[in-house]
Amino acid sequence: MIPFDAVYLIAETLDEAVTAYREELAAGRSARYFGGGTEIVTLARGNKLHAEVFIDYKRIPECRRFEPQAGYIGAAVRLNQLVDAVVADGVKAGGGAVAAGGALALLALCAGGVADRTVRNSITVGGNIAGQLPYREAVLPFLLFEARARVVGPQGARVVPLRELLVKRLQLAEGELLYALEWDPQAVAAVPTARIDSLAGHFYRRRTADSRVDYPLVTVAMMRTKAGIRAALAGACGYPVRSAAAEAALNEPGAPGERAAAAVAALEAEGAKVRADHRASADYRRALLVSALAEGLSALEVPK
Amino acid sequence: MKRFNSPASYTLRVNGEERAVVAAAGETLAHVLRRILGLTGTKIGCENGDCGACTVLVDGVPTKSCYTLALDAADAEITTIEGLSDTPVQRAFLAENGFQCGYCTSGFVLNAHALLRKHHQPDPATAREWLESNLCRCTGYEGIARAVDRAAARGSTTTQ
Repeated sequence: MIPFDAVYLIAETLDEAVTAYREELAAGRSARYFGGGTEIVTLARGNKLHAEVFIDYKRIPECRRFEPQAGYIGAAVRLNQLVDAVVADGVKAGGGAVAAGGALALLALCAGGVADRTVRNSITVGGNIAGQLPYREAVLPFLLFEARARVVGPQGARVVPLRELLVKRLQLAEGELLYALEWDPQAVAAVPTARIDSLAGHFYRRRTADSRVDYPLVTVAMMRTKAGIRAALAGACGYPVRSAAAEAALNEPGAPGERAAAAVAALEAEGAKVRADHRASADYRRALLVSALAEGLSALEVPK
Repeated sequence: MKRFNSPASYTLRVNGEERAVVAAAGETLAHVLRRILGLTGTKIGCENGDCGACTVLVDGVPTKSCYTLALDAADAEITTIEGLSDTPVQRAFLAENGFQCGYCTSGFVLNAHALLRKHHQPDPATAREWLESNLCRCTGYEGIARAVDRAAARGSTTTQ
């Protein structure tokens, strides 16, 4: 349970949510937006989070809208909605290296690596991206798609490139709610490959220390566009990251392994240091990262 | 906009019955089911969303009740283990000795029940993906896996 008295508000519209936040703030009460609540409830129980008011946004239509084919996913969409949307195509999520075709598949793969099946019934896209944990893997495809974040708050609404909003953590002003992510579906259409032994356009690899249901040591999501290879990473550093310098290294000529190593070096030179913790050393994570990136390059590239 | 101060008064629909609840707004579904409604078949293990002992169905979807606020389920159909009776999954667990201490069993049964309602004949990867959400410290999982296979093979289309 949440071990302190709190007020629970259920908003039906964006305006209700933002107005409630503003009013509670004006009354001197701390407020938080509430999605699936998995992280909020567990952190609150551990006395690592406190708020006097929780504002539930899951009933708001703009937050519930799920139209990935049209390039729109609301923040209240559950991760399993992404996973289940592509199971019929035969793409299975969770850990394996799959060069899968179609942007929808990459959404499913990244979402499907998070937690376990039952927990994914509760975790929302917005909650995962806004969470305090360092992994936030559901955001990776949106970074690759160069998605835009739809945000609303006491100062009004704005649409901002996600890469500008997500700098280690979401840079939201007090009272702002990220309510949807959108992207141009035509711009992320996979480039057909000349290789007959791989599917086109996308790569995903997730490495854990022990079982599949675990926080990742590294998660790599890659995509090939007409302009070259894109890569977004989670687990290796303390936050999800897509690095222009790393991508430049990946798109240089050379053997996949060399380019992958150069990409990781470029990433760290920018300040995104590969981390060490009780699960793995930085050296081991770095090796996994280089290996996964090299594997992705091999899977995605048209042979010259 | 609905507003719930603490303590909050609301109704939960549990196992087909409307149940009145007065509880703190921050109270989890697991605690409301057990302490207030007396439905102790839902167990509390890790209270961190890891073990699955607290699994219930919310609108037919497996949900870990230890991190779900009861208020968040106030407009849903909640099914606890007490709401299942003589289902194919339960008969299979008995036939295949799919339990020892029984603490994890209600969570496994509800999750498996939902799995077989969605996938009548789940492939091994799908069954594993679903059942990974529940931990058992006693059985080593063989009996549980056999039980799910048995229920799937014999068909679990009987509604419950």
